[in-house]
Amino acid sequence: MSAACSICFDELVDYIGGQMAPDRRSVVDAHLKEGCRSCLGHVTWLRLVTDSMESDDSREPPIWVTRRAIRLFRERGPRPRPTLLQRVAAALVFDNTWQPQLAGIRGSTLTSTRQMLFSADDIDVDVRVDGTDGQCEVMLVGQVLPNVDDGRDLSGVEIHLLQGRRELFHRVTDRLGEFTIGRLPHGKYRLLIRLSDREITIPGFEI
Amino acid sequence: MANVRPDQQPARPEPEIGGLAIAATDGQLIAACLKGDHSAWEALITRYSRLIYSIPFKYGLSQEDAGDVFQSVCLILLEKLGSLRDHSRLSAWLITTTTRECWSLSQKRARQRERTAREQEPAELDMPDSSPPPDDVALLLERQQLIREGVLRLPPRCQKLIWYLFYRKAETSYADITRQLGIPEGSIGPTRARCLDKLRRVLLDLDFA
Repeated sequence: MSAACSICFDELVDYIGGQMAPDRRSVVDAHLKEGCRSCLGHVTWLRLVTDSMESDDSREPPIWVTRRAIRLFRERGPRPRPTLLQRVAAALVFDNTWQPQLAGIRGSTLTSTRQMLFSADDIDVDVRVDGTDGQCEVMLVGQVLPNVDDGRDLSGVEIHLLQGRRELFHRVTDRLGEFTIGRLPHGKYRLLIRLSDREITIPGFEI
Repeated sequence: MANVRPDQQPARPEPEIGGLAIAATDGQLIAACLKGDHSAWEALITRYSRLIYSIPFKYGLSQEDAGDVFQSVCLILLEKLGSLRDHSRLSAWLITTTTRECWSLSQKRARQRERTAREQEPAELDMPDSSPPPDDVALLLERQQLIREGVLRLPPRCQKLIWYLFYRKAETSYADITRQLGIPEGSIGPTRARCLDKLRRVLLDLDFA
């Protein structure tokens, strides 16, 4: 197929496919024997590609297999940094330590569990701290839930517990939107809740 | 060329026409994934789904195991996305990773069979072949993947014709092609040549050697 070459690509396709008249085939054979580099290159390419296609026994996975793998990204994939508009600070709307203790009842029985409720738009975050009565370590149990009953699934939500800028724990909510962080020393913490459309911060709370 | 083909299993569905991010390079898709773009991940998985899913069958694994291997490989890919160095070698990386996952699952299955055999009666065990794939097999898989990607970049008419002529394992006559694609029998040859020439140019862009 060089300037002096009389064989076109279409003919070479017929040639390697065995669909060429015998007299013309002899002409192409002779041409290739003369060593036309361009035609030899095309013949090699055509054989390689058509053989590869014909021997391709790959299989399309069932759709559920592909979907399951695609879902991985939502569950574990990297997330874009939220914009300022997508960052929401939750407000503390209830804390059981605000309630005065009843006279005559030992304090420890009431203060071993601290219950807090934070709210950000249509999302509530219930935080319970067990073992606040002088123990070295506490357990934090939380639940992310919608404050309007819209049937939203809040499972698989990423929860990050931070102290300053340092991330101490990373959890993912279960099917009820719950998460648990055990053996937590007393201190001031911050919770970061990553939803698909925004990031909710629970600013520093002391336990 | 190849008017008559032995009917081999499994039957292949017609390749998807169009689709998301077909023209994007692996590097572009990975970069988008790392920015949290879910559609880039979907495009990446769709691009390599046949490659990953087909390897377990070469190791004699079942359909169920092939699904498990597929999921593990995708998970490893997701975890390594940020540390993959040479994005242009993703196909080779996937072949190696899938092969490793197949060995690992084959060995697990062999141990399970061994335990079962010991519990029942001593018998000769049918051990799976856990040897690595020869280089030529890996090269062929990589080449077939690249050609599939190239075919997906062709105009729909070419994709369909190439699928009928070269990929479809069931018997296909020119009359069938005429019926299915509306190409007159006399035009099938010239159209095939034009489509292969387009494929040649596309594969040049994809650095097909």
